[in-house]
Amino acid sequence: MISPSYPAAVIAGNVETSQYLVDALFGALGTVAASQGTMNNFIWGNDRVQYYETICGGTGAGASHHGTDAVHTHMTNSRLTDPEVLEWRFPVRVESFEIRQGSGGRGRFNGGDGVIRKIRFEEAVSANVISGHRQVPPYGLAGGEPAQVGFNRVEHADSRITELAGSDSIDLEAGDVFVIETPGGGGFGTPP
Amino acid sequence: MTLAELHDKWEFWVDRGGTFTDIVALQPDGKMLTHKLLSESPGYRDAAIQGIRDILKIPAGDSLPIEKIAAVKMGTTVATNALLERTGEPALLVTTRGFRDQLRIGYQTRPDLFALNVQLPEMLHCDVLEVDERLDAHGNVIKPLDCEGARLGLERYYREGIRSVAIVLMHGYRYTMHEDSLKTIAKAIGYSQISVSNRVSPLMKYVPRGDTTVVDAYLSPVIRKYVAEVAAQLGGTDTQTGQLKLMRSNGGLADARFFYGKDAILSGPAGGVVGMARVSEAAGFHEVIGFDMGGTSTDVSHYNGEFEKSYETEVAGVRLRAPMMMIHTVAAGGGSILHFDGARYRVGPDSAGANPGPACYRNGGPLTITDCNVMTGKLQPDMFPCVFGETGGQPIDASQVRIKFAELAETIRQQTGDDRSPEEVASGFLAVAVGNMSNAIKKISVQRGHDVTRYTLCCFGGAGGQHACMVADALGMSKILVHEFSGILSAYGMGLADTVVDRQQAIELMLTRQLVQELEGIADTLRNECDKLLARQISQTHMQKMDHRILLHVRYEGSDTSFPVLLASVEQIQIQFEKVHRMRFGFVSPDKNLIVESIQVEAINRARSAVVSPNREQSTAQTQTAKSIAERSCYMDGEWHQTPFFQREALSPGCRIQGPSVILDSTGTLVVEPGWRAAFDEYANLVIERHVPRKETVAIGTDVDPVMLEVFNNLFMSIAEQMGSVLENTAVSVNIKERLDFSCAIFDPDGHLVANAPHMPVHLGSMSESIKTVIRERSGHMQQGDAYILNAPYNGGTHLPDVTIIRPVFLEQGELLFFTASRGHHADIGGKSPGSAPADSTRIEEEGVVIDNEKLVENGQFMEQSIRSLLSSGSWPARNPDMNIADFKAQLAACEKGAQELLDMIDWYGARTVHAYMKHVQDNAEESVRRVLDVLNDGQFIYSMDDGHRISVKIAVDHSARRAVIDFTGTSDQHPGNFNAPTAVVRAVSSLLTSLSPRTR
Repeated sequence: MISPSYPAAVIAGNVETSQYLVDALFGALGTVAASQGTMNNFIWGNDRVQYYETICGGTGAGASHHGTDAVHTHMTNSRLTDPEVLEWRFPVRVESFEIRQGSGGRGRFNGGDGVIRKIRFEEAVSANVISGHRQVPPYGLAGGEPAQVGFNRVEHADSRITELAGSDSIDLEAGDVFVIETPGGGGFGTPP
Repeated sequence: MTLAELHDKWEFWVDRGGTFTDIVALQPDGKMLTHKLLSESPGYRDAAIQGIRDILKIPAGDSLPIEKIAAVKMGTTVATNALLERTGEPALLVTTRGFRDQLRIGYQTRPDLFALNVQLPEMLHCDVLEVDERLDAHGNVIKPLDCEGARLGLERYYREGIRSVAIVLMHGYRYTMHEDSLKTIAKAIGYSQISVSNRVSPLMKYVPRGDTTVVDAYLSPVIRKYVAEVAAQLGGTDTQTGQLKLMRSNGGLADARFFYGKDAILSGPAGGVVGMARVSEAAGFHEVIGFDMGGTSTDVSHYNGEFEKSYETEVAGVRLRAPMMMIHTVAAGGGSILHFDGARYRVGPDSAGANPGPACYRNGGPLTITDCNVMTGKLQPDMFPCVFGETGGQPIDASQVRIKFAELAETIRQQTGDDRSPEEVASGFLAVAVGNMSNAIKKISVQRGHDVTRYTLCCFGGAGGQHACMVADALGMSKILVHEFSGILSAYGMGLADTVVDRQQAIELMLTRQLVQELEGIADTLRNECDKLLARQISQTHMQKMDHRILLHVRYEGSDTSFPVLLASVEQIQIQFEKVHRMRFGFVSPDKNLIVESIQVEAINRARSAVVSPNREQSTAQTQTAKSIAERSCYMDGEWHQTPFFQREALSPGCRIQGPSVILDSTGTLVVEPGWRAAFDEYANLVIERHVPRKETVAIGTDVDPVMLEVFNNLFMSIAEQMGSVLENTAVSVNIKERLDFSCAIFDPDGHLVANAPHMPVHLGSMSESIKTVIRERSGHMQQGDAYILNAPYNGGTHLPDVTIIRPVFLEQGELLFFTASRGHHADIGGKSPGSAPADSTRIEEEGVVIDNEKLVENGQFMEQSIRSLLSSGSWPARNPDMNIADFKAQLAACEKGAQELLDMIDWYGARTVHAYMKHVQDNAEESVRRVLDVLNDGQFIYSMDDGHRISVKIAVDHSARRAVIDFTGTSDQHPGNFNAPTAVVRAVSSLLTSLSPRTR
């Protein structure tokens, strides 16, 4: 997986496996608990519009510091488009963008929390998500608890809910809401 | 000011800074006095009022003779300090449901790329009230405002003691009804400060508008309290229109009653820029760099006829969207602390501040830049104010400085074998500080397309004069202007500033003839509003001197970068826009639509001109020989010189002073370095010019030198940053230009990294693999004028959207010296889904077009045909090859800039020296990685991914050899999907280990 040969596909190696690699190294060194460990790549579009964003989450706690909520970690630091600009340019509405309270692992120092991002589509689009830590939680260290895993799902206009995998794609109708809950960071040290 | 008023009234121009308050007093007879006092003292409540008392000689207890004061014009750091120290008024943020954390999350980036403990700025608002309401981007009501719920919430916070609110709703900048209803509700409840986003910053973009509104709610009460205190002493503002004026961040004065928190942050420094520009114009210099060096930092600014404003600025972690003077600040001042890290000299960014202050202040402080000037004899104890020691009456302590430098020189000798004398150590630190300051000036000039060598350096602030010649030399500038009031130029600027009122309105429509007609109507409305506001700020007699400026903020469709242009015909608007776009970015896109983002109207009441200054009698303008007051030994330009010291007040117009020499005045020390000559002009300005040409090259040898190591380190870094700014400026795609998904770096002939700017982490450690591929496959065949392009994951690339462009840099004789390279993330490079990131790809072709070390430029010719046909090839070609090609050209321009700067560096230092230091810089970086290894221990870890694949890592550290082996044996085999990480990615990850180091670069 880390020395692939042609013609293997690699797109998630750069944006996802790289995050796992960093956390594995820090795990081996024991310096800092796992970050959210993913970039939550969210790509959608139709014939008329296309858009790509990565979404922040929690950072891991260390031996003397708490993790930080809702920020990009490790291998990426790319900016997010302003919500008003996003709604002005694209047929979407940001229903909410908030810190996912309690998603960081508890510890003597707590991991940072992830976020919940809900986007409502006003036109049909096809959406792709490439993300990790939907099954395996980001680890805690030195007795610190692991963080919560993330979730991807669609709340359809007719109230049905479709749960999605970490890497998945789906065709959305107008009125559907795509919900991404990003993982927190792991805790460090035994919780009090 | 009418003549009658002038005859019996005073004006006071005040800069209330963090440490000192400076005052220029304009006497009834037109002459000027200056005064300086401490901003905080147990002896008085307010320094500005006390200063006025001192000047008018009014004893404590007596009231001020208000009838004798025409105006007090003041810049103040009161708001800035409240922001930095987070001591503003607790403010409640009221916002749309779902957005309680949007300002906290912002754009989700972390300020320090390499920090594991990510520190984000503390929020200014104390709590958030979410209200039920929602408008869409076009003002349609999705959910009506729940007024009752909002009222209950606001009442609850009022009962808890909150008095200040910031109201920020989605799309409220233009569709104001919900915000306005909330304002009415808050007012009825009794809130005393209500900042509403559509008034504070009526522009699209929730995050900066929200921050600006919160700042306004947070700081306005602090300002009002301060203004009330001052105004009370001046007899109150309600009756006296225009008597108390405060400087806004945009360089215009406002009546105290109309001075708000969002406009107050750069109040003091804006006065400095106005002063700098006005005195330079008056002295006949029209292209000027402002260089304001104080105790903790240096502010630099650029002026060539118009004040440059920035419209979105980050200050103390807050994104402010208000017009502000464009000022770039670096943490290098007289109090910047000197460090030796075992290999390199470092200056700052920490400062000794006022307490304990520099070592020479007799307060146990550390060695600082000021101490370097004491060590080298440029600051002399008997010619510096005696305000130190326990009694506050002692001179600076030069012997303590010499002892400490001797100790430091000995430490450096023991650690490196470098046997510099104490004075050489001091001038080494000065060289590093000068480098930091000149790199800051490059940022606001050279990087924005201005040829700084034609410019005059206008030097002011307490510590500027001690370094001006050296900074000018570092930039190739040959003229320096030092105004009579250079030590208090910010205060002087307050008096020279115009009174300005402005109004802004969002437009967000395509530029058409019809729109221009509509804009004229809107401009009339805004102009009337401005006139009414201005009429309340100035007396009737001044109203005739009123000008208007109508600006449109215009951008290309699909871009986020707007430029201000004057409202005119469609054609004229287009011409203006293209002119400034070409200057900043080097290109125009005539096919793209222009979007008018907003309209801004300024009503300006012009101030006096600057030529009122000279107090001294016009003397007979013949050349005179100046008489020195003393001769001292000063260390300049590598040797001790017997150096004459002069008193500025005793010099007369026409006299010339050759360097080396030192000129003292009441507010500062001016060092004229060897090769420079100072002369007085008829306005009592000192103009210092280089009369011996700067050396064409310097000889510094090839052995590692701890001073030059830091200088070269910063130079290489500055080149990488300049490459980045060229790429950001010339790129066309939003992904590169605005999301900044790119990186630039310099490599040695073997493909090893020399320097990179702190761009994208996943790029930084992996680019070297791309260079090595080019070297491996093209060694011996690379030519001057070639450039190569690749994204092949199996041959030095990472994934297909990340495309790297590589340019070899040759000496004239054909020797390969460097590679410059830039990597950009392209929004689409083909593949089976738009954006080139399919969730389910299993073969590389499904992810886009593979570019495997192709020639992009041959002998200076851009190979457009071949690259275009490559992009259009395969089952899933690139969807927008024009965009790819435009960005390739921008990436190439970045590489070209890097190459040019490296060649300039070689011209100046010589190829052998540059090459040697390239190696030294690499060794130093390697050493800092090894130091990280010294404190690491062995370990292993197995990390499972969601689909059961796993990463296994084992780290074995050999402390005696200072090596670490990272073994990934046990990691899963090739992934059937797309989670495969090519070697370059794995290397990038491993190199991130250095982020553990305290301050790696």
